[in-house]
Amino acid sequence: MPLNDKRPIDIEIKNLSKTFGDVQAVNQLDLTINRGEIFCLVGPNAAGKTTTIRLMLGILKPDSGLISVRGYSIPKEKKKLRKIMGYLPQQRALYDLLTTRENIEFFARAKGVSNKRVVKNTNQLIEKLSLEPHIDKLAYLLSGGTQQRTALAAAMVNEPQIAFLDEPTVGLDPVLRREFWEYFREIAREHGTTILVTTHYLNEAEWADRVGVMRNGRIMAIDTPEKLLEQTGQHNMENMFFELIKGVSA
Amino acid sequence: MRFAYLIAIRLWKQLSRDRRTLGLATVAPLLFVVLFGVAFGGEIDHVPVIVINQDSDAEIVIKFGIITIFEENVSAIGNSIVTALDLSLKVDINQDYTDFETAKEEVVNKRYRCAILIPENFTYNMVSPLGDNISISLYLDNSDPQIAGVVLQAISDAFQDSAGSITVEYAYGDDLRTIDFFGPAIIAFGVFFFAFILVIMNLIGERKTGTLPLLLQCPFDKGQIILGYLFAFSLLSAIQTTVIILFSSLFFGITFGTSLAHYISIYITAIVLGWTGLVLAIFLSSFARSEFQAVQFIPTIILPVILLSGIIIPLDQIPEVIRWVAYLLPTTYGVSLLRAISIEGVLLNIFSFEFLFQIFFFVVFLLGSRISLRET
Repeated sequence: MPLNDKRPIDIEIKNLSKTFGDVQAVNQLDLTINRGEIFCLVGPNAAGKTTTIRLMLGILKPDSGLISVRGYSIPKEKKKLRKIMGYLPQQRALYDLLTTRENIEFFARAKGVSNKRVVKNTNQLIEKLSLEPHIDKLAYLLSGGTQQRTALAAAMVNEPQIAFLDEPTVGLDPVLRREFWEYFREIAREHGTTILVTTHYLNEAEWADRVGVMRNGRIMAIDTPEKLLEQTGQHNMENMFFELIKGVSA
Repeated sequence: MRFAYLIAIRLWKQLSRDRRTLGLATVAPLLFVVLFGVAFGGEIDHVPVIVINQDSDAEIVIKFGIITIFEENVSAIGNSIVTALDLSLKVDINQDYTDFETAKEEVVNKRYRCAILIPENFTYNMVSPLGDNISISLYLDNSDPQIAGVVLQAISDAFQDSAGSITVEYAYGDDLRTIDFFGPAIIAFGVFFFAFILVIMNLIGERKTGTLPLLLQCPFDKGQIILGYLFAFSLLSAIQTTVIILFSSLFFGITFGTSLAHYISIYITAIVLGWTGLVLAIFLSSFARSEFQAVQFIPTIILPVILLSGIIIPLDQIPEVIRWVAYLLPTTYGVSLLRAISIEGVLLNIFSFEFLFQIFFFVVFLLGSRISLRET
């Protein structure tokens, strides 16, 4: 999808830093994400991707820097953000003893979706994410992939304006990963949802509108996938990443 | 309140599908009743003892010169003591022994718990103004103080019976059995124990699976999560109380009250006590990262509750140095209230210190858990 530069900025981060003891998890990070954009933060494990998301949600307090999401100053106005956002944590956070449908409906209600829309939204997601055969199964009996699809449905059931998806495709097979990305594109296109996705599958980043390559708490490069490949003279994102870190100390 | 209701419904749905936990929460209080019922309901009796009764009838004649100033024929008090002892059924008497030293050997060999010697002229010496100071000799196996206590009490009672009877009128607890005393305490312990254990384990599980951090990202005040737990566990406490009352009445004949008002008092007290366990669990769950760490809270909290709340050991018997711990436990007041309602027949006074303390404890830890319940 071509990037429309006229779209308003949805997420703006300036000079953001966070340390845990001696570890600099996020280091003077600057980032802007436009409305309706699929932005992928890509990088190896411990690059600072999850910490960045948790800072954006106000779960963690930054040591320094400014975060603005949809005009809300985070963490100060994090409660206002909760009404319009969807969040998929790294863990498959589901209730084992609730069925697929019950899990999705529970999170719909917990996110304040009106009773009228709870069933409608749940049914739509069940269809879109191919969950029909599993709707009455208890969550702990589902396969890893189905659990992840259910968790994604639970995260998106309130039709969020901004979605924070932390490693949504981890542990999934290539077919399901592709399906997830198709779904992200669909909701970004149809509803104008801003989507921030993190992943350590470097090649997945090709499917995003823009990519931020992250390492050691810093963004090393940020651009469209095509331009990043062009700048580094590589044909895939994995090689692009290794080209970028060449000569940069860990 | 919508969010709290949602949480409560979800908890009940999960609990109803977790048969093991549900079974434990309803069957375990029964187990408590049975254990307490058997352990404290059974009285110690038929303790084997040897009695050597050398006493005989006494003919007491005191003369001053040729004038008789005191003349009395008294039946052997030793025989009366033995009969009273026999009738008490607390001890099984063997009177085949004649030598006290041999009888003592038998106690040492653990064949008998006590050897009792009622000496010669016991009656004479007791009754006669000129009698010597003479006493009954006991050789007692005190390796089990409870059994030894029963033997001593039986002898003391028999001695008093043979001398004359004591009339006792009870202010409270007429015909009270030990198990009647423990019944209300089982409700207090069961309700507190399960609210504490189930809530702390549930919350640690929710934190580990990531559902709790996700709930905390929902657009509702986190106080509603605590309220949801309160709703769900109030119902569980009420069910447990019902189970304990029904089972205790049916199998151990324990009466908890004589009117509906008594039962309402019991339910309110039990549910509020359950709340105190619940908020304490929510508060402490924030300080445990795993079930393993949470399990370590159980003896730290539950053991003082069992030992210091007056469930088994009366508060007066707890050394003053640690009695202040008892005064800080909500169960101390819960047990006291439930006993007062069941045994003394009083109704719950919500302005009583005991009840207000529980409310105070609840509010303090409710606020504490509201602060400590965090995503990280």
